[in-house]
Amino acid sequence: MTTSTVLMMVLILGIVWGGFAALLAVSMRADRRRTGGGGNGAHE
Amino acid sequence: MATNEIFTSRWALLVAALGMAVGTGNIWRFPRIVANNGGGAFLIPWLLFLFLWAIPLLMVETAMGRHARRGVVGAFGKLIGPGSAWMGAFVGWCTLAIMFYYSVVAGWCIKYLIAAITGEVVGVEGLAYWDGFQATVWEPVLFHLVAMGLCGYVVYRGVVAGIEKASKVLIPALFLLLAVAAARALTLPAQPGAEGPMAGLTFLFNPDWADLLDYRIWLEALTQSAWSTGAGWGLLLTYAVYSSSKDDIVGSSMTIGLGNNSASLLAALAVIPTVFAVLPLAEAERALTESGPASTGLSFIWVPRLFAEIPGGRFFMILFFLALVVAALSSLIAMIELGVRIFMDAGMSRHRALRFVATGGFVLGIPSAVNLTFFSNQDAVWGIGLMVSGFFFALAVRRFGVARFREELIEPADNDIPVGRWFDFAIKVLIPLEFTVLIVWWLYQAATSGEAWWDPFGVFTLGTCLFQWGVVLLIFWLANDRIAAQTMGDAGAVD
Repeated sequence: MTTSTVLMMVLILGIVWGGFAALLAVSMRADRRRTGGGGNGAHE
Repeated sequence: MATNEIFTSRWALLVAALGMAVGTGNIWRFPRIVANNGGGAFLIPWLLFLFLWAIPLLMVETAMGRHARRGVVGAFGKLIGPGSAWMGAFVGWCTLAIMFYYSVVAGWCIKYLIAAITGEVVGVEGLAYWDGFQATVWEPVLFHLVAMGLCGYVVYRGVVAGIEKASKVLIPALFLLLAVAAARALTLPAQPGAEGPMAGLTFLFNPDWADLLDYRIWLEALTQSAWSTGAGWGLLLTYAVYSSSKDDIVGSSMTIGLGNNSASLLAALAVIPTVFAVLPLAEAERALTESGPASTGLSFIWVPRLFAEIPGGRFFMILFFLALVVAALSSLIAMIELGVRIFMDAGMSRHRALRFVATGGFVLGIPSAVNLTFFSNQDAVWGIGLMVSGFFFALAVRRFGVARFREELIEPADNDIPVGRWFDFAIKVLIPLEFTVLIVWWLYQAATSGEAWWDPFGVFTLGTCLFQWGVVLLIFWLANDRIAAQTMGDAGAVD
């Protein structure tokens, strides 16, 4: 594989998979914070 | 209040929404589209349009569903007035019309999964097996019924006991299946005459920068983004009805979009390296770019042969079709729920609405099950119709006031990522521009497809698109007052 192919692979997978994993981690942390606070928040 | 059902956590909403977004389009369409459009260079506009089309629309849907606490018809009415319920009805109809034949597709996936388990499809001549399956007529109808029945049962059980519970199992399993398949594909030995899996990686990621000057790459990337994430279908809006009022909107929309694209890349890594590990170069490129009957080429025609030739191939074929089944069913569940929500808003109980939607969905899907020409027509008409749906969402926000929508409906949520003014620009300028370009391009293709462009009964003609959209729009516009009264009252059913 050429250098440009490797760089492209790292860039695309980094943004997509890395971004997805990071946002999932943030969501799970937010859920744990809310559960620790005692509920799922107000529902109108 | 129109519903007393709510997802038990933000994670529950996310997995359900990922189930909605990740479907057969990720697994069978994306690898073919990437292969047909230059690989690496295609991925750049594909990623760009995630942020310039899909994510803003996912944010709009989440905010609208939460604001209205009603399905797509009532949500449009609540946001911009009862006189606009017909727009929501068109959005809902587009998705339900897709549901009719999507259930048929889910049935195909179930059939092939069973055939992989029994060994019936291992090593067969792909096209002959497919033709034999379709020729029975009763088999596609039967599996369409099975798919509708399975997903209907999940929806019958309700938001928490059905949709949430199923999603929490199906979606992690789906990602695991795709990851295992991808890992196996990348470690396959090259068959005699084949280039090997690394050639597949090169095919997928190698950027030919000159391709970025080809407008068709950009249009295909935008189309794939529009179709694949479920943005503008009304599905996330439906799930947002059951979300907490404080749940994050911006971060969740980005998670769903990036999750959808993650699944697409995993599927591409599972399929493309396998093709290059088994087939000589010229044949590999043909397998990846052939559309096949009803665009099923890679999944149903080539996979049976390809997987038969790799070590442990039958096991990985089962994994592949299991992933396809899970992806198809999780998306079908969301489509059924969209219909059920609309009828619940009109006063039906969940169970009655479900029987109505599932029965209607099964009956109206039969023509697609028995006639692939009809299937292809519906896929074209309502697939392009979805772009109109996305435009209607942007139009609704503009009529409400874009800044007002952002300030009143998005910013008050506990957003992990602040929503910036880019949202206003996306809704006011980008989405209408993208819609215009897309609709002109797709209708131009319909008009130059080789059939008489005006023919309202053509398979893929401008005439058939305009005729079918026109009939549906006219009916909903004429019945608007009744539709609005039925779906916007406070007497919506609770479970």
